[in-house]
Amino acid sequence: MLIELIKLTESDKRLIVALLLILILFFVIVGLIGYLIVRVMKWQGKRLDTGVSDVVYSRVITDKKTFSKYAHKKNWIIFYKAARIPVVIMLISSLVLLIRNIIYHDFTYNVFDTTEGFATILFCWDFSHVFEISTSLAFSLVINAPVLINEPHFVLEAWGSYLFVPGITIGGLWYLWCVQSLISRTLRIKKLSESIFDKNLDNFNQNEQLMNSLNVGQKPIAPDDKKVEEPKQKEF
Amino acid sequence: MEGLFKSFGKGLLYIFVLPFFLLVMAGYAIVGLIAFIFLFFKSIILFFCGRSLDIELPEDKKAKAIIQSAIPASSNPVFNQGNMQQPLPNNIPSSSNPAPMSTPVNVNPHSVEEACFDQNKPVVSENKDEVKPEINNHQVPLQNETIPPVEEKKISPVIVKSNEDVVPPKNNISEEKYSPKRTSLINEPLEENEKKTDDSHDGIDIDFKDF
Repeated sequence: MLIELIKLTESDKRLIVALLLILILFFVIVGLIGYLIVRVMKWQGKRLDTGVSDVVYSRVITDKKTFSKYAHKKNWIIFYKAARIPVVIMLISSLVLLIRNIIYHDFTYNVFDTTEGFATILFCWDFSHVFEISTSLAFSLVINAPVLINEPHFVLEAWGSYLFVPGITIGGLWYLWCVQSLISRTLRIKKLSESIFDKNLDNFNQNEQLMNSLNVGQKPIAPDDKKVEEPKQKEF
Repeated sequence: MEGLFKSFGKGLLYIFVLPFFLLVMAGYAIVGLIAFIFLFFKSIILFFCGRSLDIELPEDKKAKAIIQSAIPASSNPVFNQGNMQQPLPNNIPSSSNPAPMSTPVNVNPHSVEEACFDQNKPVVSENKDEVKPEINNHQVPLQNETIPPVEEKKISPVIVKSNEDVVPPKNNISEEKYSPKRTSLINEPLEENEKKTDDSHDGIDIDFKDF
């Protein structure tokens, strides 16, 4: 009954097919990006092997718990060494903003402001009136183009934000990269600690080995043959 | 098409996993920042103690020492160039009490060049009264080493059993030519079916068939 009421025109069907294709394409792109991230994380995790291989090869560490403790310790030191530069960049950027605020006595400063902030050097549009829906006489949807409210121009008072925003962005992304490496190495440690000291009995069969050692299935040597094989003793 | 659907499925999965991944990442970022501050102060304290926050842990030092001590005993010639002895062919019986090398090898080089290229160069012994050991007949002499010619002594044929890695020294037994194809170290004339295509008959014939 309900299905009979829904009658799709040819254009509606085309629209639905187009939307489905867009949805599939979106998920495929997300899948490819996710695959790329997984590959990158595997590559980042593999770099741990360089640091911990010597102690494993030389049998200095022979159990899972010690290896995990040692590798985690090393992992944090590697992270500390790698994250120094981005942290320093972020600290310097914050210091610049602090100095700017102290100079102008303005601690309510919005770094993304369109008049004195970083947005002064960006294109800015007003999207608030893009969709206009009117329901007075009949339902109607009007789509307007966004209004350009700012064109890129340099403002001297915004120098603090010009230094702060790129610095904090670069430092932050770099720091997140280091964090991702940290996670990758942690996962690698977990995997290695399980695989290096693994005692696998999947292909081991004690009974099979025992039967093989007894030469089961072979013909026993006849006592007469044994006699023939024995060399004759020399008579003195 | 199958790959496309696989990517689609993975994309769907990643969309669901993404919030959890971001949560874990944010958690690690915060913990990492705390750890960073802790390690920063630790490195400052270590700096004033005259040490540094080194990536080389005590386990690494121990491992390095083990590896360093294992290198001279290694059979790999890449590792123990300084202490390498010439390998004996399989069929030559090694004496129970092998004689020492006639000339000592310079195991303590003074330069990189000396270490790399002058390994077999004999070191002049300062003690002239030192009794030189006799050359063992079974011992294969080193390269650049001169052996006084022994009169009326035939070099008996020596057969190498499929050991292609063993290369005899060139200078000392210059008459003997080793060929992996012939598997012999003798002066016998080549058979008809074993004749070389190369006319010179110089050098060592290396067969890369099994590589």
